[in-house]
Amino acid sequence: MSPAAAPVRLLTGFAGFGAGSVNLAISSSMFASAGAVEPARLLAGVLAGLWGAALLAGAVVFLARERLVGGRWTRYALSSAAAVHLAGIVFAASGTPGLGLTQLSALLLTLMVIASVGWLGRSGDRPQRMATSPQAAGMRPGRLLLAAFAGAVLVAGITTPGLAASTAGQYAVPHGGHGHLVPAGHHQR
Amino acid sequence: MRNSPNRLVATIFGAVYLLVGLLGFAVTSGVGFVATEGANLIIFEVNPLHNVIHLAIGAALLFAGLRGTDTARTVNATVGAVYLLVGIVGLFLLNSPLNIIALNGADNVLHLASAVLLLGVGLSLDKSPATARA
Repeated sequence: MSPAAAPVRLLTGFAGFGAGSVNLAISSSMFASAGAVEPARLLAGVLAGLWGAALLAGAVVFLARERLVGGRWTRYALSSAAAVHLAGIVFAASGTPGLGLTQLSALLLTLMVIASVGWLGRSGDRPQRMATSPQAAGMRPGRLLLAAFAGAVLVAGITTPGLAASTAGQYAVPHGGHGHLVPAGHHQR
Repeated sequence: MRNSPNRLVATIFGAVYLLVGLLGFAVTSGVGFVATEGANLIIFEVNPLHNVIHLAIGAALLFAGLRGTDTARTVNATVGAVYLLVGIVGLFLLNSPLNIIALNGADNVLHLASAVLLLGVGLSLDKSPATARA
């Protein structure tokens, strides 16, 4: 197994957490903007929420059990999700202001998952060997953690603007500002 | 400790959080416990409530890192999961103080990075062979 497999595996999980969070933010935005007479938007919100929850659960299983749930079907689903996010950006299908950046964030994170899963597959990753210790993966713990921290900052750097651009971001309480409720529609930063 | 990523992460993050919590009290004298306008600690805006949270998380992580690998794994995964879950639940509680993750800014990037790093390392590294086969 390549020494890079362990940090790439962690990056895959991080990107899964990020993509799941952003899809839940898209779902939240759909619900917030959907009226009772807009079933299409409600359906989109439900689908985005289910997909976000599936991504989070899949990331947990991937990291804990070291296998991709669903195999090639998950790859197809990830590719389809990337296409939907791309369509959301190009056609502005959501119609919700600010969601373009959220869709872009989701697209980048989904592509990151697809690329890293593909790389792990081609590198002949054998999960059970990596499971016991980083030494089994051929990497010192300090270096592994530095790589993991860089990956976490990268994922957070893509995820946070996407979340901030969602409807939830407009209501969010700023750091140091807990206890202060924000007027609807007012961006904090 | 040097051979366990979980113990390293817990110890380093615990020490940093403890330090930030202690230094925070030095700059927040006169600031209300849950004041809207906090004080700046370098680039991080803090108030006394944040300092207490930083101290509690730092103490838990440092204790776990010094105690052993299994404890460090559990505490890392728990703290990371709680961070992430509170933020995600907050996405659906609009206009609520729980909505704390959907923000922009360097401090929030670091908070989210901490959450995914702690959860990811806790879930995936330092597993016993039995756990890995499960």
